[in-house]
Amino acid sequence: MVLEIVGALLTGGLVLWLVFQPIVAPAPTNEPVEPEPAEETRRGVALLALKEIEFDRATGKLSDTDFETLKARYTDDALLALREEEGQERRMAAADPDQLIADRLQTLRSAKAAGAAVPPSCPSCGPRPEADALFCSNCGSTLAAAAFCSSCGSSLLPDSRFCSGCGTARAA
Amino acid sequence: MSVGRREFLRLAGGAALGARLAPQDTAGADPLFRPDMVQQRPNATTADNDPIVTEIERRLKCMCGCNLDIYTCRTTDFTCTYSPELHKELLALKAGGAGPEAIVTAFVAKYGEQILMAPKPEGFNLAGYLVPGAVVTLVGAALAWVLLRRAGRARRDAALAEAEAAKAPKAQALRVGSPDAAELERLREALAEVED
Amino acid sequence: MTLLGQFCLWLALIASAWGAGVAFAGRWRTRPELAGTATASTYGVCAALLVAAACLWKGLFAHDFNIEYVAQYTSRNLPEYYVFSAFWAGQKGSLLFWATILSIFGATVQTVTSRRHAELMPYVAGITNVVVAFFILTMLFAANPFERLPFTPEDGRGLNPQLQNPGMTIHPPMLYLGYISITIPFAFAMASLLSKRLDTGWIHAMRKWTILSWLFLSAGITLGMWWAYVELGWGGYWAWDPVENASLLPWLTMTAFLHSVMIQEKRGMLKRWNVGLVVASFLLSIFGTFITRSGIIASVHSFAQGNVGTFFLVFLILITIASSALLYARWPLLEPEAELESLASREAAFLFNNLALVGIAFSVLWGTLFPILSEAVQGTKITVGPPFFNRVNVPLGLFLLALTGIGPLIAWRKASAANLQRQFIVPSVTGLVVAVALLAIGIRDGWALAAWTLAGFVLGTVGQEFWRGIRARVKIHGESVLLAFNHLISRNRRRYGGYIVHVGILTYFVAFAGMAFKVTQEVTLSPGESAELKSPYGHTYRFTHLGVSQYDQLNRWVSAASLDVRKDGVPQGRITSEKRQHKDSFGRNTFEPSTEVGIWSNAREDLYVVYAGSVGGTDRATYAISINPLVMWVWLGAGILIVGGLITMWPGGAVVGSRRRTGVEAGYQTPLTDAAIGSRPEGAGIGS
Repeated sequence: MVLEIVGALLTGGLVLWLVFQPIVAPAPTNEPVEPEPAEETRRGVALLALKEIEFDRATGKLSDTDFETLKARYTDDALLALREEEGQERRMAAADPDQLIADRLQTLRSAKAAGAAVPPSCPSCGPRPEADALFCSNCGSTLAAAAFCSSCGSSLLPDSRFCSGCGTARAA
Repeated sequence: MSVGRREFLRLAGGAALGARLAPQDTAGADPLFRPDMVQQRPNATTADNDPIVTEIERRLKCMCGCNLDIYTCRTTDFTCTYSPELHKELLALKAGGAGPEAIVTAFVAKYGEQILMAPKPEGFNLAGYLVPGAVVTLVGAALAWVLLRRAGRARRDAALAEAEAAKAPKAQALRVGSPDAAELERLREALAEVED
Repeated sequence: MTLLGQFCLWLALIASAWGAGVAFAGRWRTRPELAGTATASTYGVCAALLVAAACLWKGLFAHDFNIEYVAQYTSRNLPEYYVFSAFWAGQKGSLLFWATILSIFGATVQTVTSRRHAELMPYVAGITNVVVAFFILTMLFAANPFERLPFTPEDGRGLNPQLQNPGMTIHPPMLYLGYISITIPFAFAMASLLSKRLDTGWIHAMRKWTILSWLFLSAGITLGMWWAYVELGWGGYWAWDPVENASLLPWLTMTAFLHSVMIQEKRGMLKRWNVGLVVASFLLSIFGTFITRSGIIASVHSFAQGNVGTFFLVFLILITIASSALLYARWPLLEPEAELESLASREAAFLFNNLALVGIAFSVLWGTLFPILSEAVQGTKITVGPPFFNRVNVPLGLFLLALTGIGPLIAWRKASAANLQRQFIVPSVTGLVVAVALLAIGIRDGWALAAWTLAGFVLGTVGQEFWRGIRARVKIHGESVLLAFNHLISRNRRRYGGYIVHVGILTYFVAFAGMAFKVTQEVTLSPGESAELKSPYGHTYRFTHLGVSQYDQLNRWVSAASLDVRKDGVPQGRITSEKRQHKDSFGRNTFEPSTEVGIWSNAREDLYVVYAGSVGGTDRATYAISINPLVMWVWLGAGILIVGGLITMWPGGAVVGSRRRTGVEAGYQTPLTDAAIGSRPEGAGIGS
């Protein structure tokens, strides 16, 4: 009996601690998230598809004409993905940290001024839950709330229609 | 040929009587040390192994609630008291000259439809047999039809596109426009990096 | 320890209710600590249930017969490993087992899933918590394993002899693991619908779980077949019993999902269908448990007690409504990204494969429920037994087997006529050679011929795939044949592991068809007398009765009847079948005498001997002797299937080069400053 009560107290304590530990001592939230495995990104999928059709042709499953059609399509996919990635890299390299911080502040302030926090939305994955996300936590593409110029890579102010760096019209 | 209920009962009764009168043939055997530790079984006869009998028994369900057919139950569940009796009934009917269908009919008359392991394919029971196959066939046909239609449409579209391509030479259908050499080179590098 | 056990059940109920409440209230979206507590609740539930399970085991091993469950399913003289397995021998213990395993899965999925999917996880926790809570509620209010008796019996009733079999210690847990683990894919599907993250993220997050639960189900079903074969004594392994059917249903829908999910990953099609399949699999797994527990359909192994069935029915209905409503609400978001292009494409083959699998599932479900339907419609009770299921399902099964061979031969998107010809010639010829050979040796059974011919065709397909794959690798990469074979599998585990699974499946079919040639005979023999039986291969077996020996053993009195076996006059040895009268520690008989089958197995056939009983209490014995062809191939098929499944699950595969050597990784939440000044934190790379 006594043993059981002690056991009950211990188990109760353990369960309480396990369940409420995240509230008492919240884990740091800005830990980096491991990125998507390369195989599951758009680029990876397209590259693997290219490899696969090459292999299927070698094994005789795909005829040469079908292979050419498919190759054109997957090459297109892969090039798009590569281009997107490159643009992102370039703009991250080019951006001035101070400018980025200033932009970010501006974004947050204007969102606050507009009233409710508008959840950022990813063009391919839909609305994101992180109110202050810059990149989609799923696919990694840039979110609309913090856009960059597609030609020179400077960051765009939330409501601007043209790039403040080079004057290119903002992509829709 | 069909067996009436009265005749059926007479036959069954006769079989039970016969079984009681038959002496247990235990020639050349010694009593067990603990006979109470095993089930008692009658001598197996050639009739028990008669393929016609077993075939009929596989079509009829044992009524003890075990869900097995009579043959499986009587050769498996040695605690069941129903299946040996049903077996005897069946043998008696057969000895009386009843054919397989007549025996089955007699059993259905006595015990109801549920003694059949599979319902007769007639009336509403046909739904039981035909619905799954019909559903699969219909859905399959619908699927094939949609696919064929789409394929036809795609072919027409392709033909149109080709005709247009013939008018406007080398219209690139790629969304990326015409990639430059450097870009293609990077793609080639990326492909080379894929370990496959 | 029942007090502690009871307390732990309540504790787990409260913790799971808290976790589910927080998850579905949605405030965690803005408050990370709430998301944390929602996911962490699964650890709490798991801990509480583990303690509860330990309490039941403690009661079992302590022989505390004041606990109703312990008295019902064990006795003092029950061997210890069966005391251990008595945990899931009865309904109440099974429910606790279900809940505990599910809570372990629920906690594991929270720890092993990558933080990339963090947004799904509170919902996943919510769903698993709801299911666990349901099982705990059922236990607390309908079937409490910790219920005490008003008195203490001197000894328990003991375990049903049919459950005293090594297979029975692993078959139910394996099958339960299969049933239970389907909850995880279901939870991910629901989470993706709730969070509107409907890309392939959730599919990647749960891929391993779907294969794992499919493997558990396959293993569980096959172990069930094995148990039925060695323990029930009727010389077969599948009887289309409602409980067996119930285990087959989720397996069929999961198999369909494993195929159609590839179309979603590759082409972005069939999203709605895939979510539907996962939901259906989960519902069918609950339905299977419901059928076993409710007694609504007569079955040999249903062990219905009390009003547990009502609980399951209500839960089943609620889950069906909730998940359908959610799917309906998200319907527009699940638009397909592409259209099917050709009837001769891998996608179309997959569609037909899904049609066959779901069609079989439907027909099995239809047959299982048809007695109820018939009674409602025409008022007569009817029986739907093996002849019915065989007539309806064998053609569908063969159609599926054919697709197993056709699918891999067709390329994605579109296959041209010339290619099809090139692809089909080797497999078709293989099938034809098999058919001709079988006809030549005089096999005339139509279904068996069809099954083996198709098996030859599928084997031809798989062989050709491997052979051409190896040849292509040798040509492209200049590898040796062995290395090419190794790389072929290791670089595309899903494809080639899948082919190995196909070989496993065709092995099952080969074995099933063999049963058409089973021979069986009942004989009564005095010691010294013998009987002959002709095997389907043409050998003559001669069985000579040697006598019956009786002795005391463990918790039973054994009567062992032995036969001397000669094959075409050549002595083979002695085969023994037993009658076992189980007794409790006071020597009182517990169940009716049970039968222990004598089985000799080889690749060609099984000798299967059942000691049916004694004539007039003497050592004159009645035997049921059968020769069952190709049975071993069922178990071998299971082995092949599991190896193939493990290969597809094994981590690794083709590697795409890491995408950037400099710069940043996408997916940071606040990596802005780090990224901008170019210092990437350690440990953020791919694969860390």
